Amino acid sequence: MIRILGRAVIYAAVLALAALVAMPMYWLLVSAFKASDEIFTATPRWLPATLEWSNFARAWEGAAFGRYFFNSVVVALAILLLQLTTASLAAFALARRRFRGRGIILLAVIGALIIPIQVTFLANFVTLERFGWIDSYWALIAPFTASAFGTFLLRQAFLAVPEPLEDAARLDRCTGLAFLWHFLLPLSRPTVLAFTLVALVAHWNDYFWPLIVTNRDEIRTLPIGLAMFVTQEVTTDWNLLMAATLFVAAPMLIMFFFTQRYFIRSHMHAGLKR
Amino acid sequence: MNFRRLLVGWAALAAIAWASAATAAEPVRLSFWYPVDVGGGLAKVIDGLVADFNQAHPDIQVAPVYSGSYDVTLQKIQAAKLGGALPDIAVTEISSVPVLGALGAAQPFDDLIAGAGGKNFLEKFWPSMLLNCRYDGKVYGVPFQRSTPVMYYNKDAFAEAGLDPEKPPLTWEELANAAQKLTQREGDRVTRWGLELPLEAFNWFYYALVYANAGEVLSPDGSKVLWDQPKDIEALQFWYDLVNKYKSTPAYTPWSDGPQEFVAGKAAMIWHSTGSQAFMRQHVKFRWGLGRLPKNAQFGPPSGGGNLMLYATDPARRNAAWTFIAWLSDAPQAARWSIASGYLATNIASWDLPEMQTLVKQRPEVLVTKAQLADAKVEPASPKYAPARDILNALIKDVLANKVPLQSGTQQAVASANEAMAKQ
Repeated sequence: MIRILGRAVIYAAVLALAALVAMPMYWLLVSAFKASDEIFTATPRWLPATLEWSNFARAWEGAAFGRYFFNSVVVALAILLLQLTTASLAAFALARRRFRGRGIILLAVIGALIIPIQVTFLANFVTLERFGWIDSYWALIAPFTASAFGTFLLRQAFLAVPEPLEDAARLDRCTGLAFLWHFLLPLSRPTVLAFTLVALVAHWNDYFWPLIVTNRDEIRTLPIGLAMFVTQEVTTDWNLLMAATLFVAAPMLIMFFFTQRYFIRSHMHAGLKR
Repeated sequence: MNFRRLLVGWAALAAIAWASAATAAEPVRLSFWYPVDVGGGLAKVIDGLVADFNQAHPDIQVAPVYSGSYDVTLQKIQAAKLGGALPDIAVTEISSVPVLGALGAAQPFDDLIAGAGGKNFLEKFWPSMLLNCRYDGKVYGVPFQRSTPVMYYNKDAFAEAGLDPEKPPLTWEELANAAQKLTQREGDRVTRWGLELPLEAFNWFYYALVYANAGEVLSPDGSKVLWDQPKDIEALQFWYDLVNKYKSTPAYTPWSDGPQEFVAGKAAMIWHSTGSQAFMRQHVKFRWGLGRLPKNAQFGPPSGGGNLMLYATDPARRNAAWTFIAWLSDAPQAARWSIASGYLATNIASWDLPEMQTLVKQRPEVLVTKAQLADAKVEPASPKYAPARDILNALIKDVLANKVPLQSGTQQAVASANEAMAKQ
C-alpha cells in the first residue's frame, strides 16, 4: 500500500515536471495557429478558435527561409563533421596514447571548456577579416572546427574501452586509426550521438555570431530569420513568430525524438567514468 | 618554351587589365544596414524604397542588410570597425551618435550638407529631430525612423469612468486623477490599470517625466548625470506616487507588454512609442485616441528611434552614400516611410504632401504626434553614457518596487553612474 502511494507521488511529481517542460511547447504550438487578435486576450485562450494555417505561409514569406534552411543545414553539418573528426582524433591521442605533455594538453582542453565563447568573438572576427572570410560560409564554420567539449566527452568515452580489447585488436593487426574507427567510435556510440545532438542544436540555434559575420541573405541562417520578426520599438506579431519558430525548431525536435534514448543513456554513464 | 610562357603571362595580364577597365563603368555598390522587423512588413518597405532608389540611380546600387536589434546593430558596427568591414550607411539608435562618432566608425558630413544647401538642408527637418544628430559640433546623422512616446488611451473606458473621451489628460494632476478613476479592482486584485508606463533599456519615460518637469538628465558636456537635482527627484516621485500612492500604475511593465495589455483592456492608458500606432490600428477593438504626454512645467517628450549615419570614407562611396541618405530623408520618401511604419515624418514638407494629408484625414490623431515633434527634447547621449543608462534602469525598477528609498537610492545611483562614466 505504501509502495503504491509512493509510486503515485513519484508519478505525480514526474507529470508535474513534464507539464512544466511541455507547457511552453504547447503554447508555441497553439499560438502559431491563432489569429492575431486571439493572441492578446484578457484571459489566456487554450485553443485557437480557428486554425490559421495561413500563419505558416505568411511567416515563410516573411524572410528568405528556404535559403536560410539550406544554409543552416550546410553550416551545422559541416561544423559537426569537422568537430567529430578533430575531437575523435584528439580524444584518441589523449585517452589511448602516452606522450610527453599529455597532462598539460588535457588541462588546456578542460581550461578551454570554461572560456565563454563571447570572449573569443572579437579575436575571431578580426582574424576572419584578415583572411577575407567575413560574409562567407567559412566565417560561419571555421571558428568552430575544434570543440573542447567534444574532445573531453569522447576522451572520457574512449577511456572506458578496456585495454585488453586494444591488445586483442593489435593481434589482428587492427591498430591506430583503424582501431579508432572499428572499435573506439562504435563502442562509444551513445556518447558520439549525444555530442552530435548537442553540437547540432547549439549551432542550429546560434544567432549572434552569424548575424555579426554575414551581410547577405544567401549565406544567412535560420535564427536570423526568426529575429527579423521581433520588432524594434513596437510589439511583435507573435503568431507569425511562433509559426516560424515551429518550423525552425522542428528538425531538432524530430531528431531529439529519435535519438533521445542514446542521449539519456550517455548522461547516465557520464557520472560513472574515471 | 620559356618565351612562350612569358607570352602567355603577358596575355593573361593584358586580359586582367582589360577586364578591370571594363569594370570601371560598374555602379558604386553600397551596403546599407538597418534594424527593423519583417513581422510588420517593414523590411519589405525598406526593400521597396531601396529598389526605387536603385532604379532612379543606375550608377549607385544599394544592398539593404538586416542587422538585428538597435543594440546588436551597434555591436555589429563596433566589431566591423575593428575588423575594417564597415557598412557604407546604417540606421542606428540616436543615442549611439556620440558612441560611434568617438569610435571613429561613423563619419561626419558637414561638407556634404554644405554642398546640398547647408542650413537650408537641415531646416527641412523638425529642429527637435536634429538634437540627437550632432557630436562634437559636427553632423553625424539625418533623422529617419524617429519616434517620440505618446499616450494611447481607451475612449470607451474614459466614457465609462465619467471622463471626457475627447479630452485626454494634459497635466500631471489630470493624469493622476484620470488614472485613479480608470483603475478597476476585484478585491485586492487589479483587473485594469489606469495607466502603464512600460520600461525599456533606454528609460524613455523617466526622461519624459523629468523634461515635463523642466529638468535635465545629463550635464551639457555629457560627463555627469543630474538625477539628484530637485526637478528630477520630483519627476521620479510622481512616478512613485502613481505606483505606490494612487496605486493606479503597476511598478513594472516590460516594454513590449504595454501595447498588448492595452489591446487586452488590462490598461486604460499607456505611454508608448508613436511607432506602435500601426499595431494599435490593427488590433484594438474599442475606440481609442492619442494624447500628448501630460506636462507639469512644460510639454517635453524625449525623442528616440534611429538616424541614418554614414560610414564610407572613400570619396566616391561617400558621395554615393550621401546621395542615398539625402534621397531617403527627402519629403516623399519620409512620408512613405512614416505612413507605412507609424514612425514620425521627420521632414517638415512631408506633412504637406497629399498622401500625408489623406492620412491626417483618416487618422486625425496623428496630429498629436506632429504637435509632439514641435516640443520633443534630446535623448541623453554621450560616448560614455551606456553604463549610466543601465544604472538608471535598475534605480527606477528598485524605487518603484519599494526596494530602495527614492532620495538616498538616487544619490547612490548618481555617484556610481558618475564614477562609471569617468572611468571609461
